[in-house]
Amino acid sequence: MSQQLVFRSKDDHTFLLSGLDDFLMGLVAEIPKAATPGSGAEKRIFPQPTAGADEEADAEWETFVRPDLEEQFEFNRDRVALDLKSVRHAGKIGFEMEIPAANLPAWIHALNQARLCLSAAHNLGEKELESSARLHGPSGIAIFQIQFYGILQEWMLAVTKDI
Amino acid sequence: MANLSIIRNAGVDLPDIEVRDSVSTDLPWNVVVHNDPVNLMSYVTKVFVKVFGFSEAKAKKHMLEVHQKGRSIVWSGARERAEFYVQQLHGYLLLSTIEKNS
Repeated sequence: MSQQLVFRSKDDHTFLLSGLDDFLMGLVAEIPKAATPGSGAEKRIFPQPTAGADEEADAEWETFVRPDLEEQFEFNRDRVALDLKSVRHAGKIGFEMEIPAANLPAWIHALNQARLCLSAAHNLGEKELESSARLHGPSGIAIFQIQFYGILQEWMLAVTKDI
Repeated sequence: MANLSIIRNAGVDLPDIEVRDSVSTDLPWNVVVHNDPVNLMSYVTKVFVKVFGFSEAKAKKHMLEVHQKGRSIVWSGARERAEFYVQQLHGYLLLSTIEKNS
């Protein structure tokens, strides 16, 4: 990668993410999809509040609370998808995009959703995520994706007081 | 639940009342946050500050307890409030449960 990946404040209301090559741009564009829980991630994204200790309470949670959570997660994904429309190719420095400061919490949460969905779908635990030896195959790409999203999340958390 | 046998043994007439065992609902409930390898430490700290209004130092202390011990009791009290907090934490995708304080 020749260009340098940069996340910086553009003005009081906008941040700029730039220096994305084709591969990293592809990963950024994939955030909304990666943050959508498939069947492999349902259990992690929608855990039971009593972990099975009170079946009635867990069932009520599924009925009454889960729809609100789904709506919340969808809102974050939609906000990111909307901001992705500002992506433009900036010549040699690769792709860049603007992110309104007000949308950073949605980005932070969507990145978190994506990281959790990917780790659940690929059954990645602490051992796999801390090891760099398995960066091959679908699991390797997922590990890279999780780490890359983690870097973006850290950068955004560093400039955001209120999430 | 109060022990009424002492009053009965003292010869005091008590009205017929329905006595329900309310111990289980009166017990304080704990909000427990469990460790997971994906959530970032900085993220978990910020969520604790946001949801519970913890100071940065207190939020970090609980975050480290989750990380090192696998779980941390972040709040105790009435069940309804505990459920509210767990819903908030689930909204931030922190693995959390409510447990009876035994």
